[in-house]
Amino acid sequence: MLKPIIPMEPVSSDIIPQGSDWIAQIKWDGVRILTYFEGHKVRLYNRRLRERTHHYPEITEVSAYCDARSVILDGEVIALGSDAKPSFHEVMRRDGIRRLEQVPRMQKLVPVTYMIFDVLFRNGEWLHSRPLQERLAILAEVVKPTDHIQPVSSHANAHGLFEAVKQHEMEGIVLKQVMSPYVIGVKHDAWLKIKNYRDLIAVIGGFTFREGGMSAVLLGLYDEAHRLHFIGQTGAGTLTQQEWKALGEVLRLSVIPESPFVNKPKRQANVRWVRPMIPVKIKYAEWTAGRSLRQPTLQALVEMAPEACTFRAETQQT
Amino acid sequence: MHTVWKGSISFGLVNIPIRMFTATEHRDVRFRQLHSVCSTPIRYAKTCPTCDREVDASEIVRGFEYEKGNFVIVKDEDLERITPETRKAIEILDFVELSEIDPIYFEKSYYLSPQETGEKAYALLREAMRQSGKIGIARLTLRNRQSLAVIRIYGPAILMETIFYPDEVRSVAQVPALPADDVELAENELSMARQLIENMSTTFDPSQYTDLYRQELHELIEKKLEGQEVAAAPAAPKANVIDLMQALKESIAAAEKAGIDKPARLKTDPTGADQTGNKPSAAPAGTDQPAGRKKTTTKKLKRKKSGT
Repeated sequence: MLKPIIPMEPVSSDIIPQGSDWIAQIKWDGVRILTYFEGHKVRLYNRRLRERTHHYPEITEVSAYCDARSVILDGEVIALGSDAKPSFHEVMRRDGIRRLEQVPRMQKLVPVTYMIFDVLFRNGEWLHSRPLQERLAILAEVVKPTDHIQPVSSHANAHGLFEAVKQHEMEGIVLKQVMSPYVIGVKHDAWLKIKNYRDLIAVIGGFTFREGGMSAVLLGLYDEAHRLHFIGQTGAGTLTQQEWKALGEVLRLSVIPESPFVNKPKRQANVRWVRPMIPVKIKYAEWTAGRSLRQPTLQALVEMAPEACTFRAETQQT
Repeated sequence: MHTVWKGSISFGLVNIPIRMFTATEHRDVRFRQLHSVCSTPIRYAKTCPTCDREVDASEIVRGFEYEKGNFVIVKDEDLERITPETRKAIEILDFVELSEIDPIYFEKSYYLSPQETGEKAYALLREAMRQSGKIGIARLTLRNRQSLAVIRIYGPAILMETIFYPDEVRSVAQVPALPADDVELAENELSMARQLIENMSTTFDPSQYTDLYRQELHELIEKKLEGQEVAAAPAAPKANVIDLMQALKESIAAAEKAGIDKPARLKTDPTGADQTGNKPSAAPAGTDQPAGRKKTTTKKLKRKKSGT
């Protein structure tokens, strides 16, 4: 039985490298999922090695779209939002399902597409040390697109692609060296991500309220001394009214008398402090000089240890 | 089934420790009320019309309206003082014939099962009641209220039915328009009616009676779920990935036509902060890359960036 691996990850970059030894792909904003197919048995795992086989029935019919006796595919499961753009919030409605009997219903509400960009194993043979261009050729050979399966296209003109991504307000692009191997379990600079917008995972340390309910949540990140710094506040963002309300109810239960932040948020009226427990994914434009986020918007609640919401993790992960 | 009460049956000098389970349940399809605009479940807010604001649970007290608009305030302490002593026992007072109790008295049924040490005494009481054919009249305190109950045998279990107190059963004399017993009836009509009853007589088989309306409601809901006629979801995305990919393709072509294939036009970094070191605690993303890779990027580009 194939043992799940930790996937290769790109390194953040601010510049697009030049040269014909790089290709560019769209960075699809979703959930990283690897598919392990061995004849009859199919398993799906995310990058933290949590099994997701039963969450995405659309992609477990491997023989319907992949011509191989056995295969490991790497890609991103995405779902489109109402603006027809990939929405992390939407895909989390599928990925976060706890009671699996909900899957068939949610499958109709939130259809997903598997954007496949790599193949690591085929017909009993590991391919990860082969150069990218060879793996992509094999990928094109074995995977045929369907309603829920799309191979990620590669582009020579990274600048043109980035321009298109900006125009469509998508997450960004990934540059990959065509001769590079797939380095398992490593964040490697043979892959570079260039982001159009940024995101990070922060923990909620308080909220503000107006008549009728919660108006914003206060966000924090931990420094190396495990002190929580206030970095900004955001409203409901892409959360639905129900989700925002439910979040408010949970937060109300974890109210504490003292601020958990080492620095004082400017606004102190109508604020309640909460035990930092709930990590959230935040999309933002940039950091200000004062260590706070410009234009933060709430994307989704995420499953993560609150103490892992650190400045360090943030600069590495996004 | 979950235990709703723990206590004992006390019967003469014998105490049988038991657990109690609700024996019946309503299976009605429950609906929630939603706001038709956004499908959010309606919340009930408790408000005070005088103060014109929502009222917290801690601000609410109990009042008995002894006449319109006039109240006696009854506090928790007041109630505690008169709450019957919770003896945690179903006290059997008498044994009577089941037929002596009209079904109108029955309120709610509970199964009783013995706790660890009570099995033998439970079996003994059950068998004795079976042989005598009698049922017990008992008293117990349930939810701060003293109740009257009947203890009887149902299959392998001892069953308890709470019953109404006599003054809780409305007098039949209050029912209007009941014909007197000595109304004259034609003999042939009466014999026809008796004949009809005879023909419709059968033995009671509860399984043949089902709640058709409930069944149909369930089917209706199933169908709506299958047909995606589901509220609450913000309209399922009509667009698909293929459309998006097509749109992207067109944008790339347009960008190329506009001459975007040179880095001179590039501005990838939305955060000037990274470059000036304002991003907290860690190195800006671009600086930890090995020199080997950087040689693939043009100097011209770097100059352009630091210049802006």
